[in-house]
Amino acid sequence: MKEDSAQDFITEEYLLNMGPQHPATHGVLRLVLRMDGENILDLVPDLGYLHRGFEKIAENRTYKQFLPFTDRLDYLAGMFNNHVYCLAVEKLLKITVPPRAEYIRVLVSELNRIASHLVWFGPFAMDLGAITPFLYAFREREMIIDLLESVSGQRLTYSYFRIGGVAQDLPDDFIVQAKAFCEYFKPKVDEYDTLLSKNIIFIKRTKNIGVLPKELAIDYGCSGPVLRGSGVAYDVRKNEPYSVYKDLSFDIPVGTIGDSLDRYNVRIEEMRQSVRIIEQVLEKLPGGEIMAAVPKVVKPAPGEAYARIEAPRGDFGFFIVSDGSDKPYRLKIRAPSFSNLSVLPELVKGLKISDVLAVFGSIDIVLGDVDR
Amino acid sequence: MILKFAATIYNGVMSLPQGMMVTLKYFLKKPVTMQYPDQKWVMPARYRGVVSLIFDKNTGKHRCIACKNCVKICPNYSLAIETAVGEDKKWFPKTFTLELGQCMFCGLCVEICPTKALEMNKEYELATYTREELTRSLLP
Ligand code: SF4
Ligand code: SF4
Repeated sequence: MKEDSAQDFITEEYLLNMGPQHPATHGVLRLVLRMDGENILDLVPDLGYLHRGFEKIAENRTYKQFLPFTDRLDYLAGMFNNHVYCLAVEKLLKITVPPRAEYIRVLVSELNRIASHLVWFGPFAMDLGAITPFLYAFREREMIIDLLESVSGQRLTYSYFRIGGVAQDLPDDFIVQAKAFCEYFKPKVDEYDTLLSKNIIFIKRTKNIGVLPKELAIDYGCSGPVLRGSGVAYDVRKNEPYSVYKDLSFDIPVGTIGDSLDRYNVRIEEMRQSVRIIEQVLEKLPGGEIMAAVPKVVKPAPGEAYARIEAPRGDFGFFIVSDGSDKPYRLKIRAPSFSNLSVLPELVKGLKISDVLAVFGSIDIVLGDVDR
Repeated sequence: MILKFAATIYNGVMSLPQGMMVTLKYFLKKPVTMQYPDQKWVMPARYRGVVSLIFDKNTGKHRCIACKNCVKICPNYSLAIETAVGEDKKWFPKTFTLELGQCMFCGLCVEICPTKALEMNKEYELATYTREELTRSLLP
């Protein structure tokens, strides 16, 4: 009709809401994207949809009562939540946990780490269009979950640790089964490599996408695989060993430039390292008690304690202030996902909309952990 | 330019069969999926299902002495007991209810019971049609 339509065509920026109900946000998170066509100008994560107020709940529960609530923070890594809470309270009470209990804690935690990384691996591949790895990852995860269920009685909300030890000893055939699982799992990681890590389409979609420089990662307080992907070899298990990690040998995989592929590779390698830890623990597992002597009513002396561990998503800490009563006066949770998510806007600027999923998936957050 | 583009696509397509080989290997093996409603799970011995009182098979009696320790430890306040004194001057629970919708299956109540009167059974299909059905009485 008219020839001058190209000049008259008015373009403007627009806002795009990704989520809260979006299959790729893995929980309830809203990403508000300011877009220019397909290019991202800015991103604002809008969180809080899963806020349950655990820090406030803690002030109204006794120390023993609060333990089951911690399962629900990072619900893919319940054992870690239990662990860091127990460590903090044990610090307040000045209890030493028997060695067998510590070894069992590390054993189930590392199993849980693999399970948690598998839940990241599968959906990450699926977000990028590869459906098969998801099914394989969940098949292996199912075996770990079965193992952990036979120990604790639940599949995700374990509540297995107790202040001063663990709730029950390992079931009789657990060691045999865990060994069998390790043997089964080792070749599977190589299989994932064939399926995904070496796939050219996958590499094209993740390499040099969402580059996180070292300094920026440190500035934002990133931790875990996100920080290590950027080339910083920082792992609480090595830098500030808790539990029995100093008796175990394992490597800290690091990336080089901090793109999505580096973060991916770090996690894949971490699964291999976790298997290594599990095998050592199964070898070394000492006998003896599984619970320290803990008073019936936990009433720490007034004071404060901070405990931190290396959870699958990073540096996970609990800060507890005691006023001498049987309930915490104040409890603060330092959630790794929260800091890791906050760096997302920096990473996606200038990328295309389809890259958001590659970057977002490689950061691996759990909304239960972000919102608490 | 176009050649390079074509080469990229060619390389991408060629990397697919590698993955396909892995899939094919499993294609020839037995399926791992369980046909759920037809087949049922066997729950592990420690599975934490619904909190219930243990009744002796022979006498049909439970061991609860209405000490209310379980009520006090419950983090979600899901248990409630009305106590009464029997003819033998012993306490017993007149009513004992569990708010299933509130329970988080932590097992603290079972652990603390001094007479080991509670257990967690192996039930796992717990959805109900009405909210009222979620309130369960542990007594018959
Ligand atoms: S399992 Fe936990 S939440 Fe449920 S009734 Fe027992 S103590 Fe309460
Ligand atoms: S703790 Fe045991 S004995 Fe005490 S009221 Fe509860 S069920 Fe009864």
